[in-house]
Amino acid sequence: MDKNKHLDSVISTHQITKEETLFDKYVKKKNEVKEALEDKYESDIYSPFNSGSYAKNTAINTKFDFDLVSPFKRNAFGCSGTLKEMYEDVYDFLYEKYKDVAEVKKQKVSIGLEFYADSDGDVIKIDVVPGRELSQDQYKENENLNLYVYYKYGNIDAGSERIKTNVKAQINNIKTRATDEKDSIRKIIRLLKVWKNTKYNYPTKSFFLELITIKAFDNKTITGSIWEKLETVLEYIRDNVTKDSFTLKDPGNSSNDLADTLTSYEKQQLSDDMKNMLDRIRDNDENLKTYFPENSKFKKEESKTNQYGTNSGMPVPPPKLNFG
Amino acid sequence: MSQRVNEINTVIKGIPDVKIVKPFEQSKIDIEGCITVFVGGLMQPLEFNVTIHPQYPFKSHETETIKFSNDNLIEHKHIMQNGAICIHTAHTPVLSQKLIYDIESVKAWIKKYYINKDSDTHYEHLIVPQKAFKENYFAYFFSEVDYTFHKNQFGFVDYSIMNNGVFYKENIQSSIFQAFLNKDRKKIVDVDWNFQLKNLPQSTALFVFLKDAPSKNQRWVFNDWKDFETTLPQDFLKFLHNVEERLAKENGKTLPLFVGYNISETEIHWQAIILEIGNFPIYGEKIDKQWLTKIEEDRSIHWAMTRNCSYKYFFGRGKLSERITESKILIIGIGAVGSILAKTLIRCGCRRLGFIEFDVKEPENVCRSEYSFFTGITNKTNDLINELCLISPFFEPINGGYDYSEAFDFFIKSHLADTGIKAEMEKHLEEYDIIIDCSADNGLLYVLSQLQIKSTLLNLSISNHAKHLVCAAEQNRYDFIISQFAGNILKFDVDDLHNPTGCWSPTFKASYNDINVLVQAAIKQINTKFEQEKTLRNFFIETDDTNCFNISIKEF
Amino acid sequence: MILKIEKIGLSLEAELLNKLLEIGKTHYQKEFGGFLIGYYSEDNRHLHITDTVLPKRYQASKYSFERSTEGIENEFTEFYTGTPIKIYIGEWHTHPNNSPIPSATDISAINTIINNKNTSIANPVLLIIGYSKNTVDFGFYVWFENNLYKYD
Repeated sequence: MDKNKHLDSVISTHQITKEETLFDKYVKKKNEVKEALEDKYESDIYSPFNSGSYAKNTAINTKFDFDLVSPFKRNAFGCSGTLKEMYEDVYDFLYEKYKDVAEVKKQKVSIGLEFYADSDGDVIKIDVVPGRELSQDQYKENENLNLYVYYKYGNIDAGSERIKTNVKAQINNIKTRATDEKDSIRKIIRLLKVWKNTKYNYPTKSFFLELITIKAFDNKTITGSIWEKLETVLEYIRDNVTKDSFTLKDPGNSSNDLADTLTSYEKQQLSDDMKNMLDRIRDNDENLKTYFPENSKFKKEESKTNQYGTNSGMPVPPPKLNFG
Repeated sequence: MSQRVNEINTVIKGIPDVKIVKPFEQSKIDIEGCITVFVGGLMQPLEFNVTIHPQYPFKSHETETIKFSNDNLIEHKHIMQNGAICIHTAHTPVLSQKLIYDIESVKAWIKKYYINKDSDTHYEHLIVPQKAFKENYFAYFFSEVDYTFHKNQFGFVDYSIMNNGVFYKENIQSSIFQAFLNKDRKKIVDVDWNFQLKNLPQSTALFVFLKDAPSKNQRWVFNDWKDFETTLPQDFLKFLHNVEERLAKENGKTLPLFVGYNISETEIHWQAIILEIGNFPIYGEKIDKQWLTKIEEDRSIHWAMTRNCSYKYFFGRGKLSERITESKILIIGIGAVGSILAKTLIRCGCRRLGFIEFDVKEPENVCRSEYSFFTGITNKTNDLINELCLISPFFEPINGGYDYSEAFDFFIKSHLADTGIKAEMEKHLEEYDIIIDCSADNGLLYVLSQLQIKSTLLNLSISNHAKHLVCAAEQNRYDFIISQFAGNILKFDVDDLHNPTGCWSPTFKASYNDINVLVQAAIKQINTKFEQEKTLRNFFIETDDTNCFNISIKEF
Repeated sequence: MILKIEKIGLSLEAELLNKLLEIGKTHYQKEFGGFLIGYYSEDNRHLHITDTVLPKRYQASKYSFERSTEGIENEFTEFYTGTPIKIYIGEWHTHPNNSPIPSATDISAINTIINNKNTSIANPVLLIIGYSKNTVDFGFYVWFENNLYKYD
């Protein structure tokens, strides 16, 4: 089998433009939630924005990550208000507002909204990430935010209060790289997301996969066909993620290390998964399809297996034939 | 004097701290002598009669063929019934070497159990001499019950005979405890066994809970009824008398009496005594105008055997991870793969197991699955439940019937589009912690992969000739299985098909051995992952017999 | 595990199927068979089997059947020149008192068809009619990319 042809088909069948209707539903829902937050918090909130993969140009159409970052002003919850109070307040608001139409869940740093299936059976999921500027009006200058950590998250402890970061810088960093190197970084990130999507509740965040892919490109010479590039990145992850010295700098705040978002057990699992994947694909090219499936919904229906072969001229049966 | 006897005398004489009191001589069969052994810490050397059997230096029936005995040591730990100390030493075919090992081991015993009075951390049961009662042996199996007995509590026990077997050269009857009842025959507590065991016909026995072990030295069980004089309360003796009177019609029949005592704070043990109706070891005596029941003199106790078959002992020698054994499991499809899987799970400590299968067992299924010829044609579900009940007293079939299987297949396949029924089906399946699909039914595989269920869902499929086994454990199970088998499973391998000139064999060929080796390897892989608390990944098992047999697991 | 071929179709009239069965039965207890004639739909996703050609020369026993094309070559040409154009698309034969599962000989026959330059059909169809006094079971198989698949 032609590995590159397959990977190209994986990428093209996962293009977001192929799911326009569903995508539009997401955008509409996101805007609704954004407006609801703005109506509720009025002058206490800066404009919420989408930080999901679509914003970063790395989206796939089987799982839209829509993260709505909600930047609050320093005194939005009183001048002695804590980040925990911010998180709880946003949760309470979203819960009251959406409890009848969606599952509202507390997640690591966000509040998950999972809307019940609509008449087409589509389920829209939007994560609201509350953040607060560090000091009065500072957000306008540098867009830094403090996020609240609701529960244990890799090696970062629950209630450790804050992750200081600049979400816009995060988005821009990845977006720039993914757009500039769209035949390499962007494709690989999309493929890794397709792979992650074959797993149930994989602990590694998409953001982690994005950053580690960029790091691999920065640290290794990655050239050749799409498969060769993918292979090199998989090898890089396999060989490096478990090293004690391995770090992944947050482009939003260089003192944050994304490597801390995974426990050493989870890093080992990630490395083992890369190893198994490489070994199995080496055993048999066909296994590539197991790890990187095409989106069958948009697969070109040209496969030979559902068409009879054509004949040229009149077929003549073999003159003598034995049956048992 | 034979050369063997000579050699024994010479070797022993040469071992330090050992003296020969009575030189070794050939008796009718064995070689016998008497020695003393000294160990630092002893006031004076200990004397042992030594018997060496003709098989020495080899073991016979897994026991040493040399005995060191001294009747005065009988109350110490690790002394066998015949007063011989219990030693296990290294094997050597060289007599002189073996004697040195054995004497070394006697010295170790003296230090550990005679001088230091070491009591092992594990509990050692009382030694109960095993004697047949009127040429019959009796064994009674009990299991832990959720009830606390109080000292001197007594009443009835319902028990059931399971089997009449042969114990070496004599008959033996094995029975299980079914329930404890008070003296008015009101049930106190049931003993839990599988439903087939619970349905066996029941007989009556008696029990008394003494709390303290019926032993003078915590080593040997009472020998004589008189030993019980101070322990058995008067109202229990009266109860015995009343029972015997009431059963007068059944004179000569046996009646078991179970004697319970604590072997630890939380654990109790039962010993069994065989009583003969009409010949109880009691009599009445009028003292101060009151009848008292007394124990007769010179009546030895007929002890029978008991075994604690509680879950932890029954599976004491090995079981699967608790992640599996504590789970409620559903197996879909109990052909060769499913039945082997079911039997393995039950033998490895699983209790709650359900099946789905519509097929009927035919004689040709027996050769490579876990069914028996004897039961003839019958539903596989019924047959497997029977097989498993024979193995584990703790097997609890959940939903395993034929009707259930029919309904399951109908609902799961025909109502996938109905979200209400789909949700019901999901809810139902989520009652199982683990669902293992061995049905080789692609339709079912697809349907299951469409359901949102939290249960661990596994699919086991075998290829032609049982050369491979594919286990799907992840969300992408349908695609994984399909891609692994693409064009392969239905590939009509030429060797695979029968030629109608010979005899017909409509399915591919693979023996019980071929299939079992794969299924066991798969269970091992799954269990290992669970034990290591790792996430289970899809895998396949590959075998190759081009040179020597090779089996390898490829994890995805 | 049964692999289904979902996106390609196969159809034939029950009448034809019955005809084949009746012809087969007249040779009981020996095997019998013949050629299958039909045409593909325009998108090549559907095969319609319409006719049979019976061999003039053949040898048969309870467990074997050998047919020859001798003397019937013209019949194929006739179908090919008609409308719609009908062609040789496969073979059929019976398994008296047996199930319609291909034997090793049947598989090698398929291979012969594939490897025959003049035959030039990529996906020959094999129909086996397993029958006894009271039962009948049809097995349709098609060859795709080195594998034999069964139609449901």
